Amino acid sequence: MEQIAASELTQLVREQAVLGLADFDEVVRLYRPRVFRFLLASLRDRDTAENLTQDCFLKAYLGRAHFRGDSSLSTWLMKIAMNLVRDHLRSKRLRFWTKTRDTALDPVDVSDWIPDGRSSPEAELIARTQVTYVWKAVSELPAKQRSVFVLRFVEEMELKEIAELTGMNPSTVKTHLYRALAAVRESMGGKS
Amino acid sequence: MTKETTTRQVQELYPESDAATKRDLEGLANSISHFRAAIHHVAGQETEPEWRLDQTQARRRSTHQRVMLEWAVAAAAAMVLCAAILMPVVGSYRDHAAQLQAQQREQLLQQRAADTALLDQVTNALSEGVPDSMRPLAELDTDYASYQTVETEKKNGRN
Repeated sequence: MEQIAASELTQLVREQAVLGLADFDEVVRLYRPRVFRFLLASLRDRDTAENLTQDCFLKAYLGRAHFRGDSSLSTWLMKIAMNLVRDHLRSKRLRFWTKTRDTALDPVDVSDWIPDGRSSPEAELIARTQVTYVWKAVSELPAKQRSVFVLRFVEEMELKEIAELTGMNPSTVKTHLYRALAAVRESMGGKS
Repeated sequence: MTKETTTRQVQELYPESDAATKRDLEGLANSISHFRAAIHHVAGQETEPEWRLDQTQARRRSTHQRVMLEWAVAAAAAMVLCAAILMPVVGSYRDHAAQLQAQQREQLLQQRAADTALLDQVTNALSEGVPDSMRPLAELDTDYASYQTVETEKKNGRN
């Protein structure tokens, strides 16, 4: 009985997920911030992140017939975004003559955007410095470690979800995360 | 996500840490939570563009065309570069080949002249009635022949 109820529930979730694509504007409105944030943190370029966000939703729209609802809509979209990041980095490496765009985010700019609410100017300065260090350390991480770090600490995803998204097993995800964190910690002056 | 959640997430990766490490990790978690807040804030500041399928498709097409054009220009530049590098090499190879050919031609001419001279020498040697080495014998023979002629004439005169 319980088994039937569980399978019916899974089916319902799938259907809801598939139906979710019918109103695509709503899908864009709901998931755009997350996709954009992930792309921005991964690529550190506002224009590229914006363009790839659009591409992500275009791909999702064109491939909506292939979405079977095996994973959540969010995971599916993030998977597309991750593939776009990988393709972008690969083509950027191949197109070495392409000039670096001036829309690249500077870590100082990012630290300027820390929301207000620090208790004192000193605390604010410390927070800004910390953000600059983390931003720099994250930008120097290998692509896989960076993606896992961003998904875990910026997008607040569970390890299982990240494993599903990246196609790695959870222990590999944990290893990547551990290494990424060790690198960030080391760059912050702590022990690795 | 709160700072505490980040701390928990960070500490999960270091399960057997002492008090000093825990303090260190708390500081790290604090920095990461600031980083997350900054990213969320930066992303939130972006004005959300209207989702237009046709516009996105057009932009994607133009990006694709631009990339193709870049590749074409890069390929052309690479070809020009290769030509610029190979031209002097081919030129020097051609010069070398021409020099070698001229040298071979000269050697052939010299060989021919030498052959002609040898042939002339052989022809001259063959055209002579008596070879040099046999000349003393031939002279003796001539002397003897002329002696016999004289003797014969004498005999005939007597008769």
